[in-house]
Amino acid sequence: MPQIFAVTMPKWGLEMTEGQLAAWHVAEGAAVAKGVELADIETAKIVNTLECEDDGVVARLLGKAGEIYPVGALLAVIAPAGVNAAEVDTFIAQKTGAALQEAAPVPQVAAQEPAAPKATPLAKRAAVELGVDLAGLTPEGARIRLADVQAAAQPPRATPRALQRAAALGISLAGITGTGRQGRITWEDIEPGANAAAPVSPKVGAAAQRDELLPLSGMRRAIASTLQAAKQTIPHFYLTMDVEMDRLLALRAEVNAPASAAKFSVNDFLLCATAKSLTACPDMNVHFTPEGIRRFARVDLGVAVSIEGGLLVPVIRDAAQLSLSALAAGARDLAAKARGRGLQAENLQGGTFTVSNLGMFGVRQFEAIINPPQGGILAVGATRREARETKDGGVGFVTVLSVTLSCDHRAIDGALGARFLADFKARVEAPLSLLV
Amino acid sequence: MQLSREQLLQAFRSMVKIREFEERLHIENPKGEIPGFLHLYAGQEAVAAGLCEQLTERDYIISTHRGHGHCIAKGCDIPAMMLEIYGRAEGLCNGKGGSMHIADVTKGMLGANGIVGGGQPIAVGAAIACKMRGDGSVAASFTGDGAANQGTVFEAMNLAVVLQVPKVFVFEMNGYSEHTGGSYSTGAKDPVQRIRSFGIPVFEADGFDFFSVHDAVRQALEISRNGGGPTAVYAQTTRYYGHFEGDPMLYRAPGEVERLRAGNDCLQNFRRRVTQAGLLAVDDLDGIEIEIRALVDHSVTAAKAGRGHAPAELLTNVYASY
Amino acid sequence: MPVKTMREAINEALHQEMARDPRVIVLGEDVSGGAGGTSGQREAAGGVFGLTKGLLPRFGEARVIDTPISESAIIGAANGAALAGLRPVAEIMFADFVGVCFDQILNQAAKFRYMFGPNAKAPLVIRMTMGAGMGAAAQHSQTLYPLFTAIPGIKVVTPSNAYDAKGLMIAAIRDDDPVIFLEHKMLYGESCEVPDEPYALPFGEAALVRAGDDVTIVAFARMVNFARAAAETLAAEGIHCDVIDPRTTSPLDEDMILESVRATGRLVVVDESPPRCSLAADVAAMVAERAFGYLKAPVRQVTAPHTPVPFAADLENLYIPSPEKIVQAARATMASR
Repeated sequence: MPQIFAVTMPKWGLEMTEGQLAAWHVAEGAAVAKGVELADIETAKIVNTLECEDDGVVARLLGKAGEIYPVGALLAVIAPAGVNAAEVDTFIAQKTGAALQEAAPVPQVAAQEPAAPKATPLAKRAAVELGVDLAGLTPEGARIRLADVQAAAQPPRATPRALQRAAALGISLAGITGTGRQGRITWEDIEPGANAAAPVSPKVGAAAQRDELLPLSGMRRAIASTLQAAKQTIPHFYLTMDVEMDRLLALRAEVNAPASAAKFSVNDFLLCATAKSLTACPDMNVHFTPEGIRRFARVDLGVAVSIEGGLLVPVIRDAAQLSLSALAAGARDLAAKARGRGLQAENLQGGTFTVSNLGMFGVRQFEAIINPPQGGILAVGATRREARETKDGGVGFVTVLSVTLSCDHRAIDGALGARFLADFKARVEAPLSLLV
Repeated sequence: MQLSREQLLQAFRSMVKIREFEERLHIENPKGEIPGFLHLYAGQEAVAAGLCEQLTERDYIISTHRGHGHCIAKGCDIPAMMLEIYGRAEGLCNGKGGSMHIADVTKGMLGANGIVGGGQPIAVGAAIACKMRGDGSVAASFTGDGAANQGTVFEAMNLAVVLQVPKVFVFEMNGYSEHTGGSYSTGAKDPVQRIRSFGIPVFEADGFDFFSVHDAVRQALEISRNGGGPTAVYAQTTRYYGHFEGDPMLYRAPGEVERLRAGNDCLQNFRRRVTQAGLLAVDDLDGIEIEIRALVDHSVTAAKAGRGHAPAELLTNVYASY
Repeated sequence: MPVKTMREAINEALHQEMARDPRVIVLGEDVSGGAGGTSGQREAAGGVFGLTKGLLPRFGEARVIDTPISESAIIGAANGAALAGLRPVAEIMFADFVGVCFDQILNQAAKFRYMFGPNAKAPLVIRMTMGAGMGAAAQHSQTLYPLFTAIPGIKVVTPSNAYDAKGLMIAAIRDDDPVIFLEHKMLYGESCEVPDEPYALPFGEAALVRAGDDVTIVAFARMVNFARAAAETLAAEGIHCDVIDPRTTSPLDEDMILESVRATGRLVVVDESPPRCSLAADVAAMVAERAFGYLKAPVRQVTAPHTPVPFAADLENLYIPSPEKIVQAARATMASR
């Protein structure tokens, strides 16, 4: 027996709290049957079609196309043919009263971090796609809209030297008012007042013999505050594993042999293995955020690069999908740019995991501090020769590398980290897999 | 072709506006408040009105250094023009153009032009736009005795014929090329034939007679508006004042201007024609003159009291964006 | 990404903008060619350098207009068409021919907006070829951008490569001001990666062709290639150069030049024009006025001599600034102090 029923904003998936009513497919007065497409609903993640649950006539369309409604909001009323308007009104009054109660604020667990800013679903989706941090945006109205995100995604116009300076100082260009032609950000805008005195580059060579106080550079300050917070707030744990390197080194010698060939470093192979292991263990490729653990489909691999006076972590985009040679070229290019002050702001944002290698300094093994909000970082030491018992009971030498994985225990458990390391070890010890 | 009463009143109003405007400027100029040069159009009113009375705002004209009459006939606002001539910030062109560069592109008036022969190629371009729009609109340029010998005018005439664009070349010959007689500066014995030799049909008119000009323009427009390509109107006329205000006109015989004013003035000719034929009453015409005189008087008062410029206005409108 | 020559890149920009905007027209001498010929082949040229190839068959005679050899009429018509709402792209075959139509640029296009007020705009592009190097002698080889840059109301574009040329041409056509777009003949055949899709590059924003901390080299159009070659030679000697290609001389990216000079303290300006009132002189004066305290050495200008462009190849080679002269100038700035 058909009766009056409500069409409400559905909840598709755990995280859905609201959706945009993209378009109606029916008009008031239309006869509808079970399964008929009523409307398109768009959320931060998907566009889907809302289907009719039962037969009836569209008595009232209450939702407006283009508007955003919370889950459970009354969008339409379907009634059996012949139901009069007063009955529909009563039904609506009941439903909206109930909805108001349902929408009453739910007590939340006291959050350490400020709540994530309100944004429309389209804006949220665009923010993920464009790598925009919603926390940095000030909405014009009550909520951040798509246009706000798109505007923020447009990198602010800046001169190359301003970009270099901002990157070196770890300063975001957002919010800086440019004083150059048509509002372009110039070198001087990055640190107002810095142009008061002519920049004199310190001459290297006349090393100071006395004690001195070295003022904190912008980059130093940024490293200090980020890593102090990381070490204090992230519950780190560390897993170390030894990896045998002989087959990889032999393969490397082979591919580097032709005079014309591009040369691969050991680190190129390790980056490649890391990226592939992150794809195999996607739960390692995450950010920990107050809203939840953001798991990334794509591996954007940060590579720690030491530069004079500090450290930069440029990001290789979609590293798991790159061939070894493309990955190597990318790493080389970013490292050169980091040292030559040529990195753009976008080179430094959005990494999902980081590799730090101190092997070239002879460091055997070390524990790296996680670069928040990333879930982990892999610390790579130097290769060494080590005696091992062979299968026949004798003693032989193998080349060994120790890697240490630092994990954020809030997001990653020990067994997961161990699985990742085992996968990494398998790939490095069977390195042909890295070439395909 | 018989014009309606409204058309006749409108034509007379247009010519009186020009005459009153120019006569008043001739009086005001010596007071020293008007910057720069003035080239007055008085005497030639029948040509501007004879053309522009048959144009709409979709049609374009390009004028000359002697441009006030063309601007007024094409509908430019008189108080705004006066403010412009006085160099005021509220002027039609923000006081940055002045007498020689008055324009109102919203009315299809693409500018008076300080370069002799500068406007004719531009009007060909406007005519290209008219042709592309395909709405029967035309572009017209004015050429006097001086520009008639500029190479740019020959280039423009040839290009207009080659492209078959709706362009009306209006030759309004006041007899002088600055301080030199037109009979000296044009070598061709038959200047009309010279235009025809480009392949342009020419309609000759008596520039002292509004109705003659109107009729020649009507024939030209009939061709140009209907896909027949460029045309020309050739009218002999005169100017009552010098090449510029202050020119003692030593090149003109004593009494020449007075004789023309008394015997062959285009406004008087119009009056005589319409009143004798009983088309308009003397009172109608007198009323228009009184009304326009008041408008011009008001415009001069307002212009003298107009606003100067803020220093920042020096830098505006060099580019749309820079 | 596909590799295209500068010729192909500009041609592609014209095609894409004509397809996008029906107000865009092209006019000039032989932009299609063939009209009135005895062969009956309508597009017999597509521009003497082939830049307008394929436009006539695709867009028709109403929008691709072959003109008589009448430069005043061409630019005048472009002016009028622009005032009347079209977006004309006029071609002057060689920049040198500007002599016969300069009024339409200097007194007309450049001044409409200032004289007539903000209702008036003249969105036209004037394409011209320029530059020495092909034995075209004194009347077909000049780089006249200093002349145009000196005119308020005109924008001047001097692309140095195919990628920039396409983006700048599209920006020029979409711009609401008169733009003179100067194409260096010696760059037409040079190629680089150029995306297929349309894109616009902003005016007044220079390209940092190469980064270095020792010497700033500012170079225009073809000279950018020479400056890059010089910078490579210098890098081998341990002298690292910022090579800046302003891309447009009006507006000029003063910010980037000044920032670079403030970092390097040394400036070499390379300009294919003769030295007096050149862009080299202009940039040097700007730096002297606004970054004098940062300079560690006198500014060096590498320009053509104060002569017309010679015909004979040996003399023409002497006339054009060379990478070697740029290297010498940079070394000289390093030698001071």
